Amino acid sequence: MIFNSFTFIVLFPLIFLLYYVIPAKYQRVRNLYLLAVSYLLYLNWKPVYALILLGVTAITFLSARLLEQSDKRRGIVWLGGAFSLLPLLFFKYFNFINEQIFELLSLIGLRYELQGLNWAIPIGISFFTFQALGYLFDVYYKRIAAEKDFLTYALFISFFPSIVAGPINKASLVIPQLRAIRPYFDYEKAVAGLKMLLWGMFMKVVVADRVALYADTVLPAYQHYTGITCFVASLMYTIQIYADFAGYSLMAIGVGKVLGFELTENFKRPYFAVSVTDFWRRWHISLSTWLKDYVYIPLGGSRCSKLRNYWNIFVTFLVSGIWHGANWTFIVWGMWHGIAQIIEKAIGQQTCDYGWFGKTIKIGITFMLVNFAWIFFRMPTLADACGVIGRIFDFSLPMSIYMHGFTATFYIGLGVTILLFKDIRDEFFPKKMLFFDSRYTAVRWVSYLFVMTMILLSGVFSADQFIYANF
Amino acid sequence: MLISEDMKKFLIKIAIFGILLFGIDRLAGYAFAYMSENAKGGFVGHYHQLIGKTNEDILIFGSSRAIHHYNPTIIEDSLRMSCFNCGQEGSGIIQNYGFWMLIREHYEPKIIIYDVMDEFDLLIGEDNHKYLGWLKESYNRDGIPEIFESVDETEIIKMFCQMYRYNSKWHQIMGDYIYPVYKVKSKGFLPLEGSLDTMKINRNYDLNAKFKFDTLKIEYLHKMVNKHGNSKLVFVVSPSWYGISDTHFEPLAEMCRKNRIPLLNYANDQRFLHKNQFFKDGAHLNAKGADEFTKILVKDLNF
Repeated sequence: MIFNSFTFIVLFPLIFLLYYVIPAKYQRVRNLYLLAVSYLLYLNWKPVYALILLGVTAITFLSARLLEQSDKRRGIVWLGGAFSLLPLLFFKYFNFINEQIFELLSLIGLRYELQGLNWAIPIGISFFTFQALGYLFDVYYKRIAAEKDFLTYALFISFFPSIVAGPINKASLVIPQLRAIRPYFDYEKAVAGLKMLLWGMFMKVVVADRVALYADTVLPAYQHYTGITCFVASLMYTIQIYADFAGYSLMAIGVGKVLGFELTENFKRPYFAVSVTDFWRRWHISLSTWLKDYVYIPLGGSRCSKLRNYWNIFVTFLVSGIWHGANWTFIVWGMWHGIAQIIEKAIGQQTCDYGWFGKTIKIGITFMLVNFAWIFFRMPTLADACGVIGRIFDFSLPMSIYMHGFTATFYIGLGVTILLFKDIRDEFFPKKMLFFDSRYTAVRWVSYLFVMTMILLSGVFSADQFIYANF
Repeated sequence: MLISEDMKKFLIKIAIFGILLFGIDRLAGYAFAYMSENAKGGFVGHYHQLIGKTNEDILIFGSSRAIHHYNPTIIEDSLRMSCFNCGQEGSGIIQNYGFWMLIREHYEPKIIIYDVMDEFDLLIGEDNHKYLGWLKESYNRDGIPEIFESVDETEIIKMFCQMYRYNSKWHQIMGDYIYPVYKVKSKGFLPLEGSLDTMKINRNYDLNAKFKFDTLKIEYLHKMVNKHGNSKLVFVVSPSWYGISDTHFEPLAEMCRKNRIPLLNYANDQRFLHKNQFFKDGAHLNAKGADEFTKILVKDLNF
């Protein structure tokens, strides 16, 4: 469900009220209701693709049950994992693999290509597949017991707030909440959820969709803009992807809280990271945790030789790149992050401490590394990404900046300033200027109304898709 | 059903928040409407001039290409009729039809010159919501809600929110009420001074790129053709550095043929095509080009 859509604004209050009509003691009916809502919302997009969601759910559920009853655990986990991954590989990577095989065969003179697929990728497939695989691996490693109730498990996989773009929840966090009899209504949690929903909406419609207007004008036609303009556009995209994805995650977690659930935290002000390693502790936390638990540690983690450890980091971020999309740009983006972390480890970047000045420099360098990596993430081909970077460093070009008109500049400045102020406060002065969490009712309410007014007056309401919903 | 005390408290607070927001929304609506109607100049003043005070013989409609390409002074001197350039940045037929609905409430000009831009007036391009921006504050006027409904039915509900009506415009309204920076000069004409910025020429521009017609835009062109009343309507495609494929205008050409409405197409006119001295960028003439084009146009109008 797209949280900044008109449909959500109309439907969510209805979903909320109907959910709380059901008494807490009928916990199973409540779960059944949430499952029905989740599937109906998914069916609303492309009905036939709900079968894939159901299929991945059924395969991982049965595989996990078999794991507990069989001795051939390794075979079952491989088979279950492979079958669960099939739809993802087919929909997301078929065309890419097909093209690469064609290119390879062309080198030896064979020009044979299968017909490419022109189908839409099932929404949230990367997220629900990884969530289901995470559950299967947890059962395999005996971290949790296999869930016996299909309804509970199906709700865990399809829970509507997080199915489109995560967070990728851990079964150990969500399934116990689904099994237990939840309190009828948790006031504190619901209020916290609404605050997250409000701030997430601000990040999405006031900041992300506004800066996108600049990035989407310049980057697709970067050949016609100066180096400084291309650099500013890359900064705009860096802000956009953060505000878009962190905004979405906040809204997803907020909706979960309003319904009484705790979902995985996904962002902790990533652009204040002091290293790329630190960045991954703050960015898309649910994915980096997944990769750490199911790729990095099984490969050996850091409890091995230095070289092996570097290899493990590299492979983990290669998988991260591939997960994001079937394109060399994502692979290079993933490798960039992996190599940056290997260099950090090799030079002991994280152990040196030069006080606040050193920390500021580290934040600046990390931000720039991440910013340039986003160029690969954003551009359609490697040649385009290199083209943008080449232009940024072409000092023979005029030193002028393209301005997107006063209106756009004003709203970009306004939204980014408020976001930056909030993030600086959260990061460096967490106990000061508590607007949403002030002990004074008037301050809290004025803050809520201010943010809501900003959304209505300065938001972009074209109901664009969230960037990560494409993954 | 028995609801818990916490739930009751939660719902009451939501209701209070809703009431407070409603109050702020109404207040903001009144304040912005007042400031907008009393703007001292700027784009907001230009908008109110355009929809409420124009009384010229000739009105020019269109996008930025209209604002920068048609010099009303040359038209007035040549045709001995008063003229006003109603062009608006990024506007297309959906928005201009709305402007026309608003203007015809108080008068009908003798001639309407409509500068056609394929992307904004005929082809599927950006989201059509963008054409509703300036019309939002005139939503209560006759014929305007139907335009919103045709673009997106949910807009009718969204328009209950006053702040939404002034979304992304409030800074301009406040600025133009307090101290307008941009003054409407030369009867709406805004010449682009200077020579061609070659950086803005897209060398990969594909004249034969695939395109699709937007049925809604074509429907509004039909409406414009059928509702121009006693005004004489002329469609003009002004020059472009790149040129524009004639196929982009086929539905309009057909419409004009059937209704005997002139369509003057200068998009591929050799007097302008690739002539750097007349352009500011690929889509816009500079001041010199605008004067040259306006002189040619008034000769061809032949009134």
